[in-house]
Amino acid sequence: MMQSKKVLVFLSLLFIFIFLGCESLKTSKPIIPIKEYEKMIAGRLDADYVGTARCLSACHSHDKIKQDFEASTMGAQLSKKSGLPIVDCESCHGPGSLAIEGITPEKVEQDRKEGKETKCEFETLIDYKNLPAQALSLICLKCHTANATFNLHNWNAGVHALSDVSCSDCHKVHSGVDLKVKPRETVEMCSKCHEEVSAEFRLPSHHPISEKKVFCTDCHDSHGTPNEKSLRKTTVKETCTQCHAEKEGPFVFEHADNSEECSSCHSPHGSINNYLLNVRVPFLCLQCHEGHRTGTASASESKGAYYTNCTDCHSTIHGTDIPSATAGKGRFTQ
Amino acid sequence: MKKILILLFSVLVILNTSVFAEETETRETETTETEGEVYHFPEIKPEFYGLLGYRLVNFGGSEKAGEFEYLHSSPVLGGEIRAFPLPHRLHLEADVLNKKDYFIDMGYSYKDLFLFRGMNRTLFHNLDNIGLIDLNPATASPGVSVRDRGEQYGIEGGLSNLFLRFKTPDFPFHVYLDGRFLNKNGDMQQRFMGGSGYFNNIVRVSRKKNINWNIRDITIGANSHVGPVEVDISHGEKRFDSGGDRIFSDSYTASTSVPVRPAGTYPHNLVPDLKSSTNTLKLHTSYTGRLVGAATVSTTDKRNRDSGARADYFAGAAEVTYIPYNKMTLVGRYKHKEADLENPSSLPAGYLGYSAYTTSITGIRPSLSSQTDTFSGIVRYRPIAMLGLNAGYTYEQTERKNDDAWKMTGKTTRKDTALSATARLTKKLTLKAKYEHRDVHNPAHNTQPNRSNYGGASLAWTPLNWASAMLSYNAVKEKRDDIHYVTASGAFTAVNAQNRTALRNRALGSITFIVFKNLSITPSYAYIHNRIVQDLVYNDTTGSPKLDRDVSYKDTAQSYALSLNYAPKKNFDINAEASQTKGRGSFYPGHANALLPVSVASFSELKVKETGYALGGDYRFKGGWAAGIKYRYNNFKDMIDNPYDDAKNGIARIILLTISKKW
Repeated sequence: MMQSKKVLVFLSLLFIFIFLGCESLKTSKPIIPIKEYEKMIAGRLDADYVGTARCLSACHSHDKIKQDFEASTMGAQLSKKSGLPIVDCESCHGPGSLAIEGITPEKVEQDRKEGKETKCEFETLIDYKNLPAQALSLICLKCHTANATFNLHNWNAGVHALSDVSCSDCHKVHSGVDLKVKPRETVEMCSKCHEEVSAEFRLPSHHPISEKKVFCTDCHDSHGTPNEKSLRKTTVKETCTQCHAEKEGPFVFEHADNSEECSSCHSPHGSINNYLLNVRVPFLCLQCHEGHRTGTASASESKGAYYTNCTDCHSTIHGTDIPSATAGKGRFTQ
Repeated sequence: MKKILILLFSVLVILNTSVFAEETETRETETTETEGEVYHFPEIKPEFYGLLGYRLVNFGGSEKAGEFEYLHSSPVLGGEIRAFPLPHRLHLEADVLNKKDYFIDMGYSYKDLFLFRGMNRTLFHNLDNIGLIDLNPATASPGVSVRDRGEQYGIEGGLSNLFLRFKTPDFPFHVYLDGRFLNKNGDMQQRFMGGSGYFNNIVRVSRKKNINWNIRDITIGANSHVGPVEVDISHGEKRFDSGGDRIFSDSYTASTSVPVRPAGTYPHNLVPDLKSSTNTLKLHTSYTGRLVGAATVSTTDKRNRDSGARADYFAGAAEVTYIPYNKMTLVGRYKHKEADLENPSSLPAGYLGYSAYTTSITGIRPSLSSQTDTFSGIVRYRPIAMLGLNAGYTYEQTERKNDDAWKMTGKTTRKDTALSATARLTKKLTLKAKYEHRDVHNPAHNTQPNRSNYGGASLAWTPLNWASAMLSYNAVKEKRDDIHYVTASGAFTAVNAQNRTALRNRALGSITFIVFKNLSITPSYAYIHNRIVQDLVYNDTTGSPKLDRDVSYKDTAQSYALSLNYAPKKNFDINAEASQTKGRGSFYPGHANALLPVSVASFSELKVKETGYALGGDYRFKGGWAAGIKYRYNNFKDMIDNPYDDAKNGIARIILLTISKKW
C-alpha cells in the first residue's frame, strides 16, 4: 500500500514538471541573477572578443594548453550553425582584445630574437586571483548548469560551496586533457584539506585509501549531496553495502535498527581495532548488552569464552534468517 | 513499474525533441555567423607510455604487515595510451602488479555525443585466522573446535565501474547507464557457536569458508532540460548473489532452553541472496542565480530472496539556496525518510531443513520500521574578504514502529546547532574554528548521547617562504543521562544504569621545510584518543544482573611520519617516508565478578606498533626511457602478545623495479 502511494507521488511530480516544462524553453537562465558576481566575471567592458586563434597566434607559450583544451570535452563542443567551438579561451577569461593590443607575430618574433618575452596585458582579463570562490565557480556553472549531467545537483547547498571551495580548487583546467581528477589522485587532493581524516587512514585497521585501492569518491561526492557527510547514498548503510552487500539484508532477525547505521559500531576511515570497530570488543557490545555469566566456578575458562570476541559465537551479528538454538530468538548465533 | 518508467522515458524524449527543435531555431537566429571560417580539429600526436618491472616480495608472520598486498613475487606491467583522432578521444591506463592486484581505467568519447568510461580495480585483502583458545581442554564446555589450523585467508575483490552516456546533438538530453560490478572471491574464516548452540554446551568453532559473492548494481536513466527545471529520472536494479559456502550445516547437541531444540543437524551462517530496485527523480533549477532549488525523491524496495524478508524505503530531500546579497547565503533543507521493514512473523515448517521444530518458532520480533523528518538551515556570512562565518541549525524527529517489541523509545528528537568561522588573519595565517552542540531527547541506543559538544580549530601558517605548518585539534564530549539494559533472560527487564560520558580527542601537526628548491622535508604527528566511562551490567549464573559502576574504556593511537622529496637533478627524483603508529586499548572493570580469578578485560587488551619505511627513486634517461626502484618495509608488532587478541607479528618487504618508455 505504502509502495503504491509512493509510486503515485513519484509519477504525479514527474508529470507536473513535464507539463510545466513544456510551457517555456530551457534557457539556463537563473531565476534571479547575482549581479555582483556577474559583473566580476564579465571582464572589461571596453574590450572585445577576438577569438582563440588571435589570442594565441603569436604567443606559443600557451600551445600546450590550447592543444589540451581542444582535445578535452569542452573543446569538443561545436556550434551546429557555425561549426566553430562554443567554448574557447575567452569563455572563461573574458574578452581579450586589450590583452593582446599591439602584439603581432612580428613583434613576438622580434622580442624573441632580442631574448625578451613579449608581455601580454593579462591584467585586463578576468582577475581570477581575487575573485571570491562563489564567483569563481559561477564561471564554470554558467555552462555546467545547463549540461544536465546532474553531478552538480546539490552543489549550491553543499559543504564545499558553503566553505569557499571553488571548482578550480580541485579541477585544474589547464593541467591536461582530462579535467576530471584521476581517481588515484583523489586521496592526495582531498588530504590537502582533510588531513585529520588522512591521519585515520594510517591506523592499523583502515580502508585501503592510502594504498589507492579505494577512493574517497567511492563514498563521498565532493560536489554535494542531500545526505550527511556528502555521502553518495541516502544512508550510511546504503553507502557501505555498495561493497559489503552481504550485510545489507533485510533479514528475518534484524539487529534492531543498528543495521541501518553502520557507524554505530564502525569507524569507516580507520581504527586501532580490527574490523574498523569504534571500540574494542567486548566493550563495544557491553555498552548496550548485558555481559554473559560471570562468577562461575570455572570462571577463567568461561570468561575466556565470553569476553574475547563476541562474534566468535554471535557470528551473524549484522542480521540472519536462521533462528538461534533458543527458538525464535535472534541471538545471531546461527 | 518498469514498463511505466520506459513509457515515461519515451514521453520525455518526445517532449524534448520538440523543445530542442524550437530552441535550435531560436538559437540560430541569435548566433553571430562567422563568414568563411571553417574549424578543423587539430591533429594531436598520440602519447604512449609502457612499463615493465618485477616486484619482489618477502614476508614472514602475520599478513597484517601487508594487509592489502598479494604477497607473492611477480612481473609487473603497465602502460598508458592517449590518442585524439578528433572527434574521437581515447584513453587507456593499466597497471598490473600481479594477477590479483591491478588497475585499469579506460575512456572513449565521440564528440560530445557518446561517452564511455570503464574502470576496474582488483585488490587482494589478507584476512586473519583467529586462533580460538580453550583454557581448560579437559572440560567439554566451554570448549573450542579449531578446524582451520594453519589456513591462510584472503579475498580477491574486483570492482568494475561502467558508465555509458548518449547525448542528443546540440541539446543536452542524455540517456545513461551506470553499472557497478563487484566480485569477491576467496577463503575467509567462519567462526560460529557449535555444541548445543546454548549455554548448556558452548563450543566455539572455526572453519574455512569459501566465498564467491557477486554484486551487480545497474542504473539506467535520462535527464534533460524541461522548461525552468532540469529533470533526471533513473531506475536501478541491484543483485547480490552469494556463491561458495553460502550455508553450513552442522550437528548440534540438544539445548535445554524452552522450547527445547532437540539434538540434530541444523543449518547456520546462511548468506542469503538479495535484490533491490530503486526509482529516483531529481529536479533542479539553474545553479547560477540568487535562488536555486534542488529536490530528490527516491523509492527503494529490497527483498531477501531466501527468507522473503522485505524492506521498503522512501526518501525525499529538497533544498533551497538564496543569496540575498553577495556576502550572505541562506540554505533551507528538508529531508524525509521512511523505512518500512516487514519480516515474517513465523518461519514455515521445514524452513531450511528445520522440520517440525520450526512450528514452534513463532516469537520472531517484528523488525523496526521508522520515519525520520529533518529540517535544517544554514546561514553563511562573509562580512569581509578575510572572514567567513557559517551558522547552522538542524531539527530531526524519528518515529519508530514496533518499538515496544525492542524496548526502545518510540520517538527521538535531535537538535543540532553549529557555528564555524574561517579567518585569514594575515596573508600567511589562516584560522578555522568550529563548534557544534547536540541535544537529543529520548535517544534510542546507549551509545547515543543526550548532549554532545564538539569544538575544533586548525591553523595553517606559512611564516617563511621555506616553511609552512599546520596544526589542528578537536574534541567531542558526549553525555548520556541514563542508559538502559535489557537482560538476557528474554523477559525484557530493563536495568537502568547511571550516566555515560564519552570523550574523543584528535590532534594533528605537520610542518614542511623547503630546504632547497629541490628538497623538501615534512615531519607530522597525529594523536587520536577515545575514552568512554559508563556502567556495565553482567549476568551471573543465577540470572541476576550485576552493575559495575563507572567502567572506563580507553584507546589511543599516536602516529609519527617523516617524508622527504628530493630532486638532485632535473631527471632524477628521490622520495622517502618513514612512519610509526602505536595503538593501545583496553577497558577497566571494577566488579569482583568481572575481576576474579582473572579480569574479563585481559582477553581483549591490545598494544600494537606498526613501523613503515619507503624509499623510491626515478631516473629519466634520454629518449623517453626511465628506470625506477621502490622499496617498502612494514613491520606490524603485537607488543603484549596477547594470544586471545587478533593481532600477530608480521614483517613485509617489497621491492619494485621498473623500466619505462614514453613515446
